[in-house]
Amino acid sequence: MNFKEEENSWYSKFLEIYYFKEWRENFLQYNLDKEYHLSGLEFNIRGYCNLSCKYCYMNNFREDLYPSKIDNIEDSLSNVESILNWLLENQYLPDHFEIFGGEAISLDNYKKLFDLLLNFIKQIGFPNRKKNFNISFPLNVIFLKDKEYFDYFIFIQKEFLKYNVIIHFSISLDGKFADPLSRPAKDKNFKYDDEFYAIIADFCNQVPVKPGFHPMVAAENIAVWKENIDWYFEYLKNLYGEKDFKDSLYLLEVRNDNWTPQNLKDLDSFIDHFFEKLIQENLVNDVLFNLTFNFFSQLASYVSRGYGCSIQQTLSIRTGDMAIIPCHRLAYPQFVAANFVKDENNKIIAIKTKMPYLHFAINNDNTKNHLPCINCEIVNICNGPCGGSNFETTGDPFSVSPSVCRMEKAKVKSIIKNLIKYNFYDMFIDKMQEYSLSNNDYGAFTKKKLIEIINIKDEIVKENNNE
Amino acid sequence: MKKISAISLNSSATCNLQCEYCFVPHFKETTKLNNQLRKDILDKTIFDKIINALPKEEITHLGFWGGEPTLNLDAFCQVIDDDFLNCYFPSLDTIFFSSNFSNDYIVKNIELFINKISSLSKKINIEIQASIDGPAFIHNKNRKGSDVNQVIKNFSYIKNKYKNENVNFIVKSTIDNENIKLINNNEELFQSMLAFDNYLYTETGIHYRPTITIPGEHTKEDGIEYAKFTKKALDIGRPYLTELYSLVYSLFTRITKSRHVIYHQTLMSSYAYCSAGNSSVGIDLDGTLNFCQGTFMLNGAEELRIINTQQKEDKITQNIYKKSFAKTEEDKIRLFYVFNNLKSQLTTGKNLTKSFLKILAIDNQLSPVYRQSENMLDILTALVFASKGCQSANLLTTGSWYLTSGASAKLFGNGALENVMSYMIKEEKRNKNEF
Repeated sequence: MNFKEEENSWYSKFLEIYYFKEWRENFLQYNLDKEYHLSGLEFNIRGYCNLSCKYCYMNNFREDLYPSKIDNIEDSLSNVESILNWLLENQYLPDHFEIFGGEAISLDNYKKLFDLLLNFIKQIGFPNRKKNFNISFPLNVIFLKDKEYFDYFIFIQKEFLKYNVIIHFSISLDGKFADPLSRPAKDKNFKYDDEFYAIIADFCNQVPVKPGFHPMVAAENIAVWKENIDWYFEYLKNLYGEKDFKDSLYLLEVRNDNWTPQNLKDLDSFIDHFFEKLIQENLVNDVLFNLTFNFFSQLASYVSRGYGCSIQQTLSIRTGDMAIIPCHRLAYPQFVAANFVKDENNKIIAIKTKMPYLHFAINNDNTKNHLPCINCEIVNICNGPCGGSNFETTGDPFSVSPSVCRMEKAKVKSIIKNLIKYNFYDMFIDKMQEYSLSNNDYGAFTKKKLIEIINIKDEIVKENNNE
Repeated sequence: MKKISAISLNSSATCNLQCEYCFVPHFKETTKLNNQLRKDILDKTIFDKIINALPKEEITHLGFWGGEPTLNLDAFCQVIDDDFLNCYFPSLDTIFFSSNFSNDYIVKNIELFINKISSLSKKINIEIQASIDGPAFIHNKNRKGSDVNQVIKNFSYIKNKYKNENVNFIVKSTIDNENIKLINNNEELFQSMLAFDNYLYTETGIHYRPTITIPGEHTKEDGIEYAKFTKKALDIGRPYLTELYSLVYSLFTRITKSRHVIYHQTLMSSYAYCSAGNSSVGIDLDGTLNFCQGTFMLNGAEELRIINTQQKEDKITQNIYKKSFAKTEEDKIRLFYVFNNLKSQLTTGKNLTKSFLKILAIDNQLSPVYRQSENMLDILTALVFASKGCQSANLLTTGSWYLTSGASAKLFGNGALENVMSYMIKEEKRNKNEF
């Protein structure tokens, strides 16, 4: 074998060990009661989008991540079909699918995409399987203004449910005050107004499996997040009721390297305000221990190897050119791991490596060993870095964006400050100490977390005394 | 910003040879670039760029790289004098350059340069590396346009002429897998290599210590051949003929010396193969700051942007490495932040390398011992990551400073390292008995 053939060989072995072996077992044993923790498969269907979200990597680096020459939705969907056939042929069943973009844009294309997925589901024989299968679909709600899309997305979720398959619509919406700042539409005539938010609410009411919302807390919109969270609480309470609204909101802080000192002040102020609301709603326990809102759970939650996202549990495919990429945000040319190769009948016949090294490395990486993380006082309570953001900022996926570090530090400090302020700190520490006694990885990890939390608390007390 | 005391300067964009393994491209464009460079040397623009890039007071070592650096030494001679040194390199201690010593023009330029430096008020050391790849069947084949006998004659002439000056001489020999295969399969050629070692030592006082090309695209088969070669060299009691022996010896020495802090997480700088990014950097033709000379020319003209053989078919261009260079002050801060991380992250680099070598072992691309023995895997990992690890080559072959392509693992991990370890253990026992 020459060097390239050997490269193909070890990469195939890696894919087999890290993904395919489990997918095969999953395919064969899915109807058993055994619990699996498997990797999923992400279809990155295209780069183009009808929004120009300020913080979006695809908006900012599209030509590098999803070059125009391969950003053709018809080709991309044809490739999705080839990949689904390849899964069936090899008897591979990933844990779940994720649809990512860009946007397919036209309704016909969405129909084609979901027809392909439904055909796959039918062939797998899901009605006879015990466990549900999930397809995550971040929903760009701008489409819902069009009645045809509105009806179609409701229809398609119902259709998949017949086969025990849930399409999880996760609604991409930053909120009434943040949307105009951070999620401008390419169509200048589009307006974020009450009518628009009413349409979304109507959709959520009609769709059988209730969608969640995943707004972005970003440098671009942090200044308005106090008003925004008030709006979100009211909006979701009206939509899902006083009891259930809290389970539908999932806040994500954007880890781009543009957090200014003023943004950090605004973040602190937002967290203060958020805590006031949590106290009013009696939700502090939920946000600390039950992942509610996602935003505050990092003090107690367990992220073993530091990546707060699903990069280490997902095989990402950029379907425009059938490239295997480390993740949608690391699809830069020098990190494209491999390409599926098709024959003239669109059948996948091989996987040919390109630059497989980062894909392998990311799967084996522990971000807590990176600098400056390794010497960082919050390494175990941090949400971790984003390899793509690191690369965009520093040119190195393993070198953390400095302002993201500052943001994470400001965030955890603000959370702990509020725990002290509202007398939740001691209760929290007691509970964490209890968890730390567990004789497992989580117990050991919690001990490390405790030390960091206590140190930050001491720092806050010292600062207060000095004042 | 960390203290950078050594710089590698791209001092020649062209070369009179066409070596098979050389990473420097040969295009018409390079002649044009070299003409511009000579102009920049003569009007001192290039030196303004250097002191603009780095604090001049901290630079003690200046290295000339190319191309063939000596082709422009005459131009340097026209500008170097005491005032020049005070102005641009007030702390300069040593000048280093490599040469192919292949013709009279080069020899004259070297003489001119040494004479010029010797005439300065301040005593400056000069280190000269001669590229001599081996006996004719290796050297003349690899270094097209050069004859080994002429090179040794020229080198000996300069070495003898300046033996009483502050000039040190070293020999750098590069061989490739084809050379190794040839030697393994032909006893006469092996004997001729030994004879060459004797000849070189007689003529220059320096032994023949061939090193393997990096990054290379070494395969398992190359590794098996290298193991055979290593065994032959060890069996006849000339371990220096195999680069691996000195790499392992040096690695163990470094580990032994730093054993009291072995668990410290930020030891990379003491394990690193070279000082690039730590105390030295490269400065390219246009003044851009590089990790080292290994990435020179990637930032040049469009024609030069096609890099390393693995990527040629895809025409991956310099554009994707745009953050691997620094021109502006902001770029420099970013790049030094990355270099600092890179040189301090023993754990990340080691862990990623080890995981990777495990996969190679599972895929039977390494000897079975690396599946069976964690200790051997650790040693191979350290060797690949820290001893023969070239981070610049990593960037070009894997897209990341941290990640190895596994080429040197396959070269050393298919018998050669086992052979060297056995030899060292026997050597250790022999020494103990003698003691």
